[in-house]
Amino acid sequence: MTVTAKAMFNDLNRSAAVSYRREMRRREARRGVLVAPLFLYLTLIFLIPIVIMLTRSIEDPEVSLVLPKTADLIQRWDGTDLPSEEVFTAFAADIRQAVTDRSLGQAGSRLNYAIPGFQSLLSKTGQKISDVPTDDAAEALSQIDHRWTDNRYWLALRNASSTYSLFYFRIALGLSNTESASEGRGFYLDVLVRTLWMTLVVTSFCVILGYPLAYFLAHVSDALRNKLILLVLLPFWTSLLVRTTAWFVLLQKHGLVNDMGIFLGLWSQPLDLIYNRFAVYVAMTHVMLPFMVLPLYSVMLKIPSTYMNAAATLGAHPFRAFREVYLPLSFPGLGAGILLVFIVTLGFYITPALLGGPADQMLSYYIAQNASNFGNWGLAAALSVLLLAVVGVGIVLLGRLRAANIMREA
Amino acid sequence: MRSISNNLYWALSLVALLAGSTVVANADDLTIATYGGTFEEALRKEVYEPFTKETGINVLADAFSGDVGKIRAMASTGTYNWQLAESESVIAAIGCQQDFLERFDLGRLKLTKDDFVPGSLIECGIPDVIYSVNFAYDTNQVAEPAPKSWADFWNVEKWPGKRAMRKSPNGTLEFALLADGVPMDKVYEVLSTPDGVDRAFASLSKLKPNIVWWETGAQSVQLIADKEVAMTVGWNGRLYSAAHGEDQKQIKTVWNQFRWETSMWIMPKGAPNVDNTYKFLQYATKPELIAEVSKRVANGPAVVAAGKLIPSGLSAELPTSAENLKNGFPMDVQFWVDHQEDLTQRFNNWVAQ
Repeated sequence: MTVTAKAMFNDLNRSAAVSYRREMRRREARRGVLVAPLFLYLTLIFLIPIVIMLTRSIEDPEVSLVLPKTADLIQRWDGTDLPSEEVFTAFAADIRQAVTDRSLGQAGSRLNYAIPGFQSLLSKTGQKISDVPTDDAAEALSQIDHRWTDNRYWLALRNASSTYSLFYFRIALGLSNTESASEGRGFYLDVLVRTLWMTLVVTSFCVILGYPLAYFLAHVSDALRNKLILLVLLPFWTSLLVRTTAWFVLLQKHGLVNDMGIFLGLWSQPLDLIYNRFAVYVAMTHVMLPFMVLPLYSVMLKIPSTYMNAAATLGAHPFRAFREVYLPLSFPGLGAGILLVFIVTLGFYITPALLGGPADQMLSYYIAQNASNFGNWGLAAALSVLLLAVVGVGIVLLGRLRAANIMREA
Repeated sequence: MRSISNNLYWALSLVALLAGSTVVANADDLTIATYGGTFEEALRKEVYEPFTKETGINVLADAFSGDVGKIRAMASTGTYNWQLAESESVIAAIGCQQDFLERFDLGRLKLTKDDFVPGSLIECGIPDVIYSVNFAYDTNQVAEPAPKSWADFWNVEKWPGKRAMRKSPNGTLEFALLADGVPMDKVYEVLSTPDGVDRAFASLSKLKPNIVWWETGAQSVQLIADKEVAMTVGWNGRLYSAAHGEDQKQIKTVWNQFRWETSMWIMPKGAPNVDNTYKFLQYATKPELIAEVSKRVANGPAVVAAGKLIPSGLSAELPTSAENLKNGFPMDVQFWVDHQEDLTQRFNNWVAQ
């Protein structure tokens, strides 16, 4: 072959490769266009609102918007004693402006999170500010309310004066030094630990109950299996609310379980089966069980029975054969099941709210309470970020665990 | 490419449809949110229906849950699920301070401050009735002499049996202080200090093992009707209708050391249809209608002229009767505006321990 012929061949080859790649890219783009509506839908309905909500956790704009001059000046104050006359004057002017704009309430609700009562102090000051002389702002303010001579209120103002802050995260993590949190300090951390603990317990129950069930399903005759699978799927298809309410009917004081127990003479007084941790665990495990059984079952179906036979032929005790052959082969299903149950359970809201007592509520209950009852969206957002972070850590940890398992297998 | 833009078109229309679905159906309709129950029934019979008959304006009912966050969201996004709600005074006061509620123009209603029970009117709330939080006991379970104070409610040795209370610091901490010997007129003064709050929680902790918590008014009377508790804290109207229901004559309301407060109409800031809302308010504040509603729900009318229309037999069971009023104390609205959130936080924490 001559040199030119070789070059030509190479060229041809290259242009074929190029056009092939171009074709592939075009196909990918075409496929991409097909999912574009879905992508757009998710972005509009799901992604953007969530991102906006989450950014609220670090936004802290109220004071710098409503009291701009004060916010600007007070940042230069060292925090000892009282701020300078200049700050007082700016503050008085800001308040007058805010009263005209009717925006004082926005700053008030934010400052009330720092010191309870700050909101009404601010609105009282706003009402009376026009009645007092303007030349000496510090004197005028202390005449309206002596709390303006207390530097705690000015410190709270300074802490709230930047547009972005970690204020809500400090409350969520119990690091805040505001007095409203003094008693409830670390409250949300306790809730977070409780949420994690309840999730772990439910996940464990699901493993303990789900694994044998999935094994059983994977090893019965085909005819029976189809009937049994339906029994797993039926509750899976039923609404969460219906299943939770069903447990409510069963477990309440004069519910089916108590009436039956008393009728059979097992106990004489109705047992406390509801509004406690027991009821929450029972119902949550029931709700989550299909999420454990289905992935386990699908993996177990694919484990050839010859492997266990081979282990037995080689002299392994059935228990050893299970532990060293079957169990590792079912790990992918177990991992998927644990991951599903763990993530869904972390965000549980309705089941503990209906069946649990005050000490059995999970983090999402308090997110809802802050968002809709109190309208404290900053704190609700910070708690949501916290929950999302825990889910993230959970996924990474489980991923690591699986990777380690695969490595060991290799 | 045509099919793709078609896809996009459908997806976008779907998005628009979902976003627009919360808009109120008919522009002339008036949607009014209440806590529901017998109160809404009374309003529907005595006010909504005759109002619609007279003016042709439809009234739609919605559920109100006292969620400040939701009202604020309505005002800030300009999307209104309802134009008017029947609310607690604390929410009306918070809404005024934070400016997510509309300030009412009394002149437009042809009313003055003096038409209302003194102290009940606020800028963002038109009072309708006055109700109270009392405790009631079951005469079948509670032996004579009858309990008559919060100290008695706390005394489980003398009167054994569980107590039902509302799972909220509001209308719980006050009674804990009263049980601990604080006089009625000093309750909020004491509760305003950190030591006072500690004292209230310490008092509450003594009763805690015997408390069953309720969250809705229906539960409060259900618990005592089912004999799950011997005494319960509850709203006077609920207790009244329970005691006058079938076979429940044993429920006795105690008219001592009770807390009374005003319930009022509120309007989210910027709500549409203001003309119809004012028409409705003008109608709903007529003394004879307020008197009818009050009779049905056993609340005291907040409009002075309506008070005279209440029969004297019922009057004795209302918080606004002269004999009762001197044995009760008003809720300090400002105190709860300032402390609802941090005390709820602490209360939740305490309840969960």
